[in-house]
Amino acid sequence: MPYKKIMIIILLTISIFSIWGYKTVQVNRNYPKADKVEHVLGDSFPYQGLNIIVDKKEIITKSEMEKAYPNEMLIVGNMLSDLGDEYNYLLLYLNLKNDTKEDITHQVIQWVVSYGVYGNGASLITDIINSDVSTVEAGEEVRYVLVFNYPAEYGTDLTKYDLKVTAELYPDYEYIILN
Amino acid sequence: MRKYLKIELRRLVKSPALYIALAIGCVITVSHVIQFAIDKTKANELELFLENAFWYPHSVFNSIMGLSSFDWQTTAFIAIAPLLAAIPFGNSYFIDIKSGYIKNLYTRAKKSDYLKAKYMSTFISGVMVIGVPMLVNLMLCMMLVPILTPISGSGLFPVLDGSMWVDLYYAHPFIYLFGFILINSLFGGLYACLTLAGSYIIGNKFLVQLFPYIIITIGEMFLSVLNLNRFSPSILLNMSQPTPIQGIHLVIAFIVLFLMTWSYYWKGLKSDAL
Repeated sequence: MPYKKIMIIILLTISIFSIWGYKTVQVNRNYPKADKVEHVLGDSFPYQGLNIIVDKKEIITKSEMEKAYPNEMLIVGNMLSDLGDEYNYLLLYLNLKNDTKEDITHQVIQWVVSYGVYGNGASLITDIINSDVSTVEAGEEVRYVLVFNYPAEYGTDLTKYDLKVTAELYPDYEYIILN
Repeated sequence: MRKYLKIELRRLVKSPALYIALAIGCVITVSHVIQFAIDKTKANELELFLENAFWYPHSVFNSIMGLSSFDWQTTAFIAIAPLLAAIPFGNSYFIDIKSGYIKNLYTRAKKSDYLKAKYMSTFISGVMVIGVPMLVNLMLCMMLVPILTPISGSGLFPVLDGSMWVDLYYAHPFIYLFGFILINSLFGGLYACLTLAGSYIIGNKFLVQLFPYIIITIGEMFLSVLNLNRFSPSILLNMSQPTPIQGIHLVIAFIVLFLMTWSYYWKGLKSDAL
């Protein structure tokens, strides 16, 4: 192969890879990797202007759920009426305190639970349901119970799973480890 | 054997069919970037994560062909892979036999050397035709969307619990990704080598190139009837694993295909070309 041809190929290759490298670095600089922020039960941390205290978790069957929250059917109404006894419930108790002078609308309602450090939790925990109130008034402290349902075949002992509840995905990946 | 391999590889590199096959593959994978990855870049630019705690930017690991949901390119690429792989070198053995070229070779060297060199060069042609377009797709996606580790529960990432290498996908996604590109490429190599076995059965050089496609299509039909879909290449080669597979399915499918292709070697040793 003539020298000129080889040089053209080398220059073209270097140019292509330089452009590729530059664009790749640039896009990754705009969206840096999410930093992991871990919490455990009992922790208190700031979240969207609120101060959140993670109180405790509870795992109960459907009948226990009905006894414990007889007046809360509206909260979980669509779930309890639609689902049979083949579901258990994971409850996460949170205290949300608004120490500011303004009402704060938050997204606790969207928190999701997953199991397995890396595995997708979709097959265990099917949904999240919670109170429809998503605003905490100034100076108010509200108790929240996040309710997650999952197939009863997994039992009530979920200690073998790396359960975690995610509070935020990006720019920080913030979650509470339950086990 | 090295000498023959060199000759065969030189023939491969000089063959316009190789570049035609690569171009077809790249058209599919680049069209995927234009249709899906650019949209994901635009979605990322909205920076919705500043307003919504549950918004996670699109990442390379849910944007490349095979991991972005509902793209026709993945289905098309997997479906035509047996055809593509056979384009560059698929009928070269058949032509060597029919033209008498093989007789010249057999008088000068060992039969087995030529047969092994032909197998290796054909395998390499299949690996290239499948692997290169997939790498082009990955490189273009990396220029557009960030390399963010998949997070379970974000709802963006397609690999579900129970799938092969699921832990790898969420912990070391690049290994998962390159693992699947390698698997696809190796299957491409085997598809290409099916033409070698087909050269003994079929008497037409164009039909020889269609042989892998016919075999794979018929094989998939049988697997479907026998409810053994998980051994079917269209399921095995899909990175997102819509039907979760296990390593054993891959290994068995690979061994079966390898034995089918290697039968060419045994038959070639026994046959009297002179």
